[in-house]
Amino acid sequence: MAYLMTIIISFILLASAFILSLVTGSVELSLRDAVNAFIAFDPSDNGHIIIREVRAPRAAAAAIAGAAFAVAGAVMQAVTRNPLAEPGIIGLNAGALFFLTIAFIFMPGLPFTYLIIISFAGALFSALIVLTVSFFGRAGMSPLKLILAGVAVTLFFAALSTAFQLYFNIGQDIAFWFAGAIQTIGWGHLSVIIPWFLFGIALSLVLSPVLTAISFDEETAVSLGVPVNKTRLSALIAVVMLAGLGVSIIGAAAFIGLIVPHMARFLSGGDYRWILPLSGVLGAVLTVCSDLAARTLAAPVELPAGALIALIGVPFFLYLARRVVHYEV
Amino acid sequence: MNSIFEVEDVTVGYGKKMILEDFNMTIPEGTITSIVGPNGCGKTTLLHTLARVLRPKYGAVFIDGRDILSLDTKDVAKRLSLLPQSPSAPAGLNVHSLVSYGRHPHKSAFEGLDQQDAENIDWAMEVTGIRDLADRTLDELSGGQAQRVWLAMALAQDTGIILLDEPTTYLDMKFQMEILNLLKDLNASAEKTILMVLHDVNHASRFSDGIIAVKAGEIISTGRPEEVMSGSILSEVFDITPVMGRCPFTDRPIITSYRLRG
Repeated sequence: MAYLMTIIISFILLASAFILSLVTGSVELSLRDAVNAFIAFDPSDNGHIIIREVRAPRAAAAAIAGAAFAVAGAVMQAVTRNPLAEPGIIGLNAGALFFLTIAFIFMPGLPFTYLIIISFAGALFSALIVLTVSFFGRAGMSPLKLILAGVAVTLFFAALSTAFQLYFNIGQDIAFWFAGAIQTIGWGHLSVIIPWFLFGIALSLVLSPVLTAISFDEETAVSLGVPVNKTRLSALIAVVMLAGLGVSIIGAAAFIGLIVPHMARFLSGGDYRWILPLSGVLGAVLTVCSDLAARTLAAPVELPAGALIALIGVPFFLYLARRVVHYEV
Repeated sequence: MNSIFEVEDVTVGYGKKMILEDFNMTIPEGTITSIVGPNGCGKTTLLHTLARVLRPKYGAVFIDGRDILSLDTKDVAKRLSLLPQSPSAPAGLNVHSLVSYGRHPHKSAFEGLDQQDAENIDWAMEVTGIRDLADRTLDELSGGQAQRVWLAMALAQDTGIILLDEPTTYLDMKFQMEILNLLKDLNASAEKTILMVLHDVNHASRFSDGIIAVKAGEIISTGRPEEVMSGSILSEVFDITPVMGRCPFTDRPIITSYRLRG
């Protein structure tokens, strides 16, 4: 039950990070404010409004995006049997970027909620192309086909986006949007995203026992009675949901999807029934902390949270890689 | 004796390249059968087709008279396990969890291990002599230890049929003999049907009830070791000139030495 303890401790960490996010900022608030904002809301109290309408949805969005990326990354590593896989390899980021580019060109000034949905749709669209290509053909899907198709589609959409951005001179708007989406997120946006999130997480957790089995070699997986192709397809649907919404909230923060599953694996062994929930909670903790740091370290200037995630994550990742000498890559 | 496996007119391969064409074979229940042949003759392809890892392009594999692909794959996994030639495990699993994954086909998704599972796992780790390794991870083990862990996982699956792809490769002579003895015991005491690809024809002769000699996707000879292990057949299958002798323990035919043909 040591793993269960690890998960519980991670949840406590998450709760602490969340509360810290509520009380920290340009207006310092107390824990009492944070609690009262929810149980005894006073619409005339500015602090309550800041907590309820600005900080809470932002922290929730960071937690959702972080958990989504981390779980999607863990699932991706199982499906591809590749410890360096992250959800972005199936073209999600490039697809989201391409759709946003088109939206900025033809529908400038579109409200934020629509941009999130467009970004999500772009991620789904490119992933759909990659999945169709890689499952096509008699031999069925193989991790290598998936990665190759993902790289090709990513390059294609990235090239198109770059070309359009240069031609229409909207590169800065897009970069600004990606860095700033999370700043303006509200409960309305979250209510669009949360059902997808819950669906993706639930699907991943249901698949988790089988994910361990398919991360053995192909022959062993078949011998254990795992329907390999069906499992991969369902798992990738979960990845697309989760990483797609992650991209739409905090942009291409692939690093969470790469590193957090390794942290979870290090703490919980090789069984995905533990890796997935632990990845989810740790991903949320890391992202909430990074987002908090992003808006406080250089206040009033906001730093890009994605860059901070890499700043915190890379040293830790290298530390892990060094400690786990035998780690199989 | 009932035949447990029937391979009927199977054509199978990779992409457009067919390895076996119109292949036919039957395996009797409760026997040890070895498939021997030169590199690239289709031994592993045959084993993979029997284990439904590969789907035949034409023809079918029948297990107890039913097309293996028509059965639920999890049900097949309760009756048939496969030890591949070079298996690999997800990073971080320790030996005990790895072996317990052999119970996967017997469990529903989130069902924990029960008494029966624990007994199976203990027994599999006991007979393969890996009890002391329970908390280690695979990358800390030697090749021989790892091979025994994989065998334990296949045994924990507790199937009537066990397929093994060169189970003695990479093992020193003592471990080779231990594994073959173990398979022989399992066959004798638990009536397991054992079908394996072996490189060493002398092992095949000593430990099998039947040998299937394959060359370039065709069966050259099949039958009891005394029938298949003849100088002329081995010469044709392996393209060598063997010198035949007798195993002093079993009196079965063995190759005492050989040279190239010509």
